[in-house]
Amino acid sequence: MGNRNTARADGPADRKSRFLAGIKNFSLLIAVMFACTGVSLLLRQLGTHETNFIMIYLLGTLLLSYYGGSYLFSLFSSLFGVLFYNFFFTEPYYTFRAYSPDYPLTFLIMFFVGAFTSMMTSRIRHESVLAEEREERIRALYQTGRRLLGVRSAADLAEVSAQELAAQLDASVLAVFYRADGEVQNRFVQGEDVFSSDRERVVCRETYRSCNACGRGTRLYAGANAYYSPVVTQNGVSGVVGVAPLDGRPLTENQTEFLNTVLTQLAVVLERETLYRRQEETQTQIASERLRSDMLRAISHDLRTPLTGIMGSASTMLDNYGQLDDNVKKDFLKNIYDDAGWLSDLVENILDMTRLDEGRLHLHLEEEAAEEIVAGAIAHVKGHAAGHSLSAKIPDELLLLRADGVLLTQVLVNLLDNAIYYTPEGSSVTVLLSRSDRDVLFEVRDDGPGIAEEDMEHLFERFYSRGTRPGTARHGFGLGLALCKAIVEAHGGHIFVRNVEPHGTSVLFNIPAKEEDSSCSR
Amino acid sequence: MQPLILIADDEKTIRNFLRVSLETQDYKCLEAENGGEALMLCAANDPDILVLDLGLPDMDGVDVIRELRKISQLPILIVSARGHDREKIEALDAGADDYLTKPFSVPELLARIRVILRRQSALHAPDGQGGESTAFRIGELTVDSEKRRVRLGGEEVHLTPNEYKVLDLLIRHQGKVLTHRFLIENVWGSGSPDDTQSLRVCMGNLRRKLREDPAQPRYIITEIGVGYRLADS
Repeated sequence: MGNRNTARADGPADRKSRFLAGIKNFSLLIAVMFACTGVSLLLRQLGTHETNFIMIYLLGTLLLSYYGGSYLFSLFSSLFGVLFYNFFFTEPYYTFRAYSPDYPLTFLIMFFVGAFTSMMTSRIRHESVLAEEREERIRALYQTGRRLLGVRSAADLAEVSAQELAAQLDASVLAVFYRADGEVQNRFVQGEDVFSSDRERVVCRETYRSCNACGRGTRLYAGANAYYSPVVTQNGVSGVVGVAPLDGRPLTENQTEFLNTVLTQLAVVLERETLYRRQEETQTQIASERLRSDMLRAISHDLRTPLTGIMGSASTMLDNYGQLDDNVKKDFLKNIYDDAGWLSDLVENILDMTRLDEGRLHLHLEEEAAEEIVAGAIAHVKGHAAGHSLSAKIPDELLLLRADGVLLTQVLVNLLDNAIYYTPEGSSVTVLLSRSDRDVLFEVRDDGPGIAEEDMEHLFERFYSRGTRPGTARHGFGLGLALCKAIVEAHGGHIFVRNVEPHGTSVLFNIPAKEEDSSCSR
Repeated sequence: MQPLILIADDEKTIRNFLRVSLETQDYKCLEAENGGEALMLCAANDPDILVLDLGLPDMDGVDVIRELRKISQLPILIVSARGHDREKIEALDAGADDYLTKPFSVPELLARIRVILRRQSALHAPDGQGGESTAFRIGELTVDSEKRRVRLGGEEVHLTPNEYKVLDLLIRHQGKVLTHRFLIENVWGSGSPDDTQSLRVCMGNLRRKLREDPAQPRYIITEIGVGYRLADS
């Protein structure tokens, strides 16, 4: 926008430049008048009627006012037109006297026509300039607005607004946004950084605190490098924009107005951001609430079955202790123990699941040796896998990975438990550990009956469970595989299930490996 | 003489079944339902083992251990809920000997107690009866700590100095869980993250030299997320 309107400026330098402009205008006025006189003299030689000369002077006056602008200038030019006409073209020639009694009236009319038309012209001229300015400002605002619309984050907003304002105001611009607690959230400087001295920071703070414009061109901290204006949203001041024009002058009224309009837009964008964030939070919350209630429903259903078993066995024994024979009692106790064990495993999975679900996934990453994780999982399930043959194939190379050892062990424990649970006694279950390229591959393979096609695609859904094993009705909880998937993916890996030939199931997952680079003897 | 075991747990049901199981094994039992009482009973009765629940109502379990370590070296077996790994490691670093995660099985608890008692009796054995013997034996593994010689079924195994240090530490603290930090500090002398990896690599090499089945180790047991222990037989 430049510094078009300098009406407010009034330093000594400005006075001088205004004086120079006046001299220039005046010289132009004299030049145009002499030109009109020249033309008229020429026409007189050709014998043209006197009235045409008046028209020529009026034309000169109009041209001048079109160029020059101010009303005073219009008055001057029409006055000079009359004087020149009087001097050159009324008898007696080359004096300011006039013989004919008509002339005073002619002069008066000529003066008024000249003054009036040239004032109108200068006004039209002025208005068209204003219209142009306004149009340009609107275009600038539109452009700024369009860029602001595309902004996705507060950091972007600081950058875009500083860039736009710097370009439009021809200035260095600082944009700072604050969090609700008053801490600086984003700060961006476009152009020369004149905002970082202690004094400037104090002014900026004061602007934020007082919610009033401070700094250059205001009464507070007038000695600052820049003009600071607050970005006011519904929640109070959310930011401050500092503007230091490159030419060192204070901002003009137009520029201030432009700045304020952009600040309003900024406030709208900030509010939009806040609303958007809040909405997103609410949605996540709703989703996790729903998840939680789904889980609670599934859990309570699946807790009830073993609990019924435990309570039933225990109360039967309590009530009939004397009548029951020892074998029956032992049987009951074993049932209680098994059911409780199953509940305990379930609780472990639920604990991990909630840890993953709350969006606050805290992986406790450490250097882990893959074989130790396999060993840990096997040690954990060995106790209840008496009917299965359990083995592991581990390569000679030591495979290191960066992982949460406890959670990965839990993944393997779940997979092993599934394999043991869904295959008949006597089946063999193998853990294979290998390295492929940059991944460590874990595979749990059994030689059981495999998985039915229609179950395949639902396996990792949260509460899906394969049809119950013949003879048991209680294990309906599909949390385990969904949990495995979540844990593996949190580590940047993937998990796959497939059936193997001639029969059996293989669950395979990969975890990115850690490059080995140090040794024991270091 | 019957060993005296102090059970510190705020849950009466747990104290009950622990007492009954322990008494059937011919141990004597004392019960404390909070940290203060546990400290008092320790000072008054000088038990052989303290079974300590980390989640006591009046005191942080780790503080109980710290207090206790000022006056006594009695073995402490901690019991903690799963998910409180940090607390568990803190307790082990503060001087606890071993841990069990709730819910634990009684046979497991009894096994741990037996190991601790065996180690205690070896420590207190009169001179010349094993306290001075420098040879250690477990399965086919023999370690002569005086000559720094390791043999596996008669064959000599060559270990690097750090591998030997790790093995030696495990042997000297048999029955105790050694945390990663403890091992790193005592073998490498620092605690930079790089050393965790060194420890893993070292353990991997050591296991290979001891011809362990990595999936079901005989000598060095991994406690995932916590540390290592030497197997008890």
